[in-house]
Amino acid sequence: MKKIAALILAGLFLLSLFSGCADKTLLDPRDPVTLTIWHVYGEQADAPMNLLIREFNDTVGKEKGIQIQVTNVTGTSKLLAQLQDSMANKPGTSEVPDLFSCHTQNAVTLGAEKLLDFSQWFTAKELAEYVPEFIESGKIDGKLAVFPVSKSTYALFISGGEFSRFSADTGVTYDSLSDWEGFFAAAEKYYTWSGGKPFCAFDYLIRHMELDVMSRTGKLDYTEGGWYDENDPVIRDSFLMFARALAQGHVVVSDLYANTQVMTGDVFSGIGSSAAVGYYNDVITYPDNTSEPMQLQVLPLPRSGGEKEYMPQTGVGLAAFATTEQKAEAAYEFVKWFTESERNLDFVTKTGYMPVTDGAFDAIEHYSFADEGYANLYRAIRTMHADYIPVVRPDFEGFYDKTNALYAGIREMQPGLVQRSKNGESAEALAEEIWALFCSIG
Amino acid sequence: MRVIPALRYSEWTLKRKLFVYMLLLAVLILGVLLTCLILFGRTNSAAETYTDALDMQMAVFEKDIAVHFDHLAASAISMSDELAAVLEENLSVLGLSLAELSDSGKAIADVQGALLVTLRQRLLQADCSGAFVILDATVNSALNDAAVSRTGLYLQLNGYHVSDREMLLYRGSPEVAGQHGIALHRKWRLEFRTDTFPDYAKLASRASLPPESAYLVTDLITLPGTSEHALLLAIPMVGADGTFYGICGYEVSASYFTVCHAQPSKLAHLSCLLTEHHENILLTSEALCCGSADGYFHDLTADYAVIGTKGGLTHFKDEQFSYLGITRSIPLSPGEKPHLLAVMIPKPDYDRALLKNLLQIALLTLLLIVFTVSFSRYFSRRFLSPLLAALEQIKSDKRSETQSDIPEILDLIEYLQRQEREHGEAISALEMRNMESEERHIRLQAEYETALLAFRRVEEEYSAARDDLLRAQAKMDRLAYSRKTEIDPDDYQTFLDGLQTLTEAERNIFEYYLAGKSAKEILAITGIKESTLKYHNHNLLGKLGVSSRKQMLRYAEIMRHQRDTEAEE
Repeated sequence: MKKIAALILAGLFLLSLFSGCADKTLLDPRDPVTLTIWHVYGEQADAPMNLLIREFNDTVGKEKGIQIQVTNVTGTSKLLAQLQDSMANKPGTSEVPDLFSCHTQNAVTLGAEKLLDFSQWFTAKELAEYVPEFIESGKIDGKLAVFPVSKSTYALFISGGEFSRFSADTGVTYDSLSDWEGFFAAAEKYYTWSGGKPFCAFDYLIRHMELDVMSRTGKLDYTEGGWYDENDPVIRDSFLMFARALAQGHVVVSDLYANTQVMTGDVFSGIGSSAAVGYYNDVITYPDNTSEPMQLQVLPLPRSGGEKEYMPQTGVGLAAFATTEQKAEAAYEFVKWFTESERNLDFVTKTGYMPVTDGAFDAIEHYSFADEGYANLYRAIRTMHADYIPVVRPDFEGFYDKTNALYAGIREMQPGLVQRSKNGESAEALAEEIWALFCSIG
Repeated sequence: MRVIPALRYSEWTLKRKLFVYMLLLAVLILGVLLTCLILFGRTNSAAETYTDALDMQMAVFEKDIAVHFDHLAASAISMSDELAAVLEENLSVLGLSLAELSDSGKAIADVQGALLVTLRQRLLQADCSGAFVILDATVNSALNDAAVSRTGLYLQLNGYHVSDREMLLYRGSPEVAGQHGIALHRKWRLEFRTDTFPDYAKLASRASLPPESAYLVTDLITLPGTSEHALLLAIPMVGADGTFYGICGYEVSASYFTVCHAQPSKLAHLSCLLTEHHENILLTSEALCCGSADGYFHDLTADYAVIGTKGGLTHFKDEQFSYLGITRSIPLSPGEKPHLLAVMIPKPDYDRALLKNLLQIALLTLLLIVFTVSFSRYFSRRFLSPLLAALEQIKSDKRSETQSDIPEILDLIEYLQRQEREHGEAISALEMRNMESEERHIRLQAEYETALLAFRRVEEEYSAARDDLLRAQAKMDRLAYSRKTEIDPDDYQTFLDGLQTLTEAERNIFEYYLAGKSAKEILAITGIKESTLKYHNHNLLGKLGVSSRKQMLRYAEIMRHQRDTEAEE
């Protein structure tokens, strides 16, 4: 008996030696850990995000013992509320996910202490491969709570067929749209040429004013109330530039997203998130059910002509609730796999985002796009990436309620202003009314 | 046959015998236990467990789907009536017939506005991802494809979260959608195309059927412009006068199906499919899929061939994956080919469970053997140790000091002590007798030696007597010889002849004389009278020719000596 016990102990000792030699991992391919995820990258089963998750599950996930399960696909604006509902265990809500898309401000609201610190898992060498600004934008008090997986910016989307006709008749070219001055001149011409159709719909009008101010002054200050200083002449001047075009109907604030107004032929172009490229229809259908191909053209944001040009940097990252070490390791493995240069490039080029690694950015130039609209978008993004400085959007509380109130106010008053403009009232005076609305928001 | 000593039962120690008996008892108990488990069906294999679990899962899934589509059909029937009523009411207000609605964008928008309210409400109430209504009219009949272009509304839910009931307009008037705060789907179109809409013509042809027989569940379609798969439950919309107004129905998208039909199951990698019915092939690419609520399932995109059965389950296989499961037909459309339900698990899971089961049985058996042997060994030792120790003490000189808590041993000791006492007494008696025998032996020995000395003395006397006798004999021989030679031969012959004439009585008297008897002794022996003896003496002497009894005895001695000499020669 003693001999047998000694043999067993010896076997266990040898096993412990061998296990000590292996990588220290909590993952087990024979008993995979399942991570649920809520994301914002398209609800379709064949959406790029879902396809990549499927690929991960069938390859690295299968090999390492990780399975990612999508349990909710929603919009960025609704995700935080849904998370809070789930955390409060409200009736009808889903289980709180392990991974979820979110803005850094969302993570602050949820509580950074509840979230996984990715910097505890990624080595410094691994993190060095990512665009530093993107990594910094995901940190809360030094904790990398929101890992960047894709970033978006803004771009100008144009219906190519219509522009060809417009260009042929007026001589306006795409180069004419390279700065705001040329942009608004073209907008005026289009308004006239089209018989009163807006040239462009803005999804986030106020951001363009911000970038214009920054370009002219190199800075932008917010008031303590979280709004803009109405006494700042540059802010006023910049805002009025947009307000004049709005008052005359040359441009509009989009109903929700510009792409829907472009696909119905209501407007000719739209300025919005680069990720909107996936939402631009391939045809424009007019009210009489006639249609034409979209021939989507994408241009960089018009320049302000200042010393430096700025572009917005938006987009959610992935956060994970800190639960078990095993899930933390699984989240790290998935996020690392998902953001590897080649894969990240593959993902972002199908969704209209900017990659998060320098390697992926460099590879865009040689990437073969299946869709010309996407190729156009990434030409514009490369131009901006080279010439523009990315600026993170404001994150302070209540800011977006104010901007939404401004947009709603403009949408409400614009038809009347346009009519009055048609009746001969001065654009300057009408623009002052919009400025007054702007000032009233703060 | 030679038997190894260790196997020879008679040579087994008590310890070994008890161990083997206990082992046999353990094996017997295990055998009975196993038999009972088998008899009462408690030894289901992993294969049976999986088959039962999948059978149960299929029952749940089938019920789930049947109830879902039954409710959808009921809702679609009532929606059809309600939408037809709304349409008729609005046409009545507009003063138009349905045919006159075509080419009137404004009127179509008004009708759509009214229909959208009902459609949206229905969408929110039903278990579905989308709802649609197609009117038999078009906004522009002048277009080339106007014959297959039909106006209508198609609303989709943008998310399946309870708090997220936002809708998108997939088909219909953007103006109407805008009025109701509904955004356009990214692949929005103004109108439907009936040439690509599944079963539109068939549904139109079923307009005359009762509603409960008219509806259809389509095969899986890819929603135009998207990669999303969906099943549609559609029903003709008919006016009070029997006019075909169009069709309406619900959409169940693949994404919605996955979320809403997630199965409560212990099978972590369960895949459940609703697909078209085909023989020997499972079209997962044409299927709505869901899996276990708490696990994950691989997205099934390939078509799986049925390659046989295993453990009562159907074996499906493509180039990469292999599944085991159960299929069942489910009629979703009245009078149409049934759809197919499948519940499956990855075959590697099944194989792994079987292997695990085998290993568990092997491990359990090993453990039982180890424990049985160990405990049999332990208990036999434990039981026998005090017994053997007591026996050792009994065998030792300190038997009287033996301590034991075994009554049988104490009885044995007492018995042995009693025996010992009796043996002691017997030995003492024997020793006494032995001592007495010794003494007697010594006495007899002394007597023997005395007797021996006497014997030797007698013997010496005997030898001397014999020597004297021999010498006397020789003297007598010499004397006889000399007498012989001195006596008259004729007288001697007369003596010999006279012997032959003796009577019996005379002969006897002669013999007595010859034996050395005296006359008195002869008288005493024969009992005759002295006169009789004298008479015989007289006759005897006369017949023998002798003068005296002394001469007669001398002639007799010579005769006997002569006869002995003749006998020796």
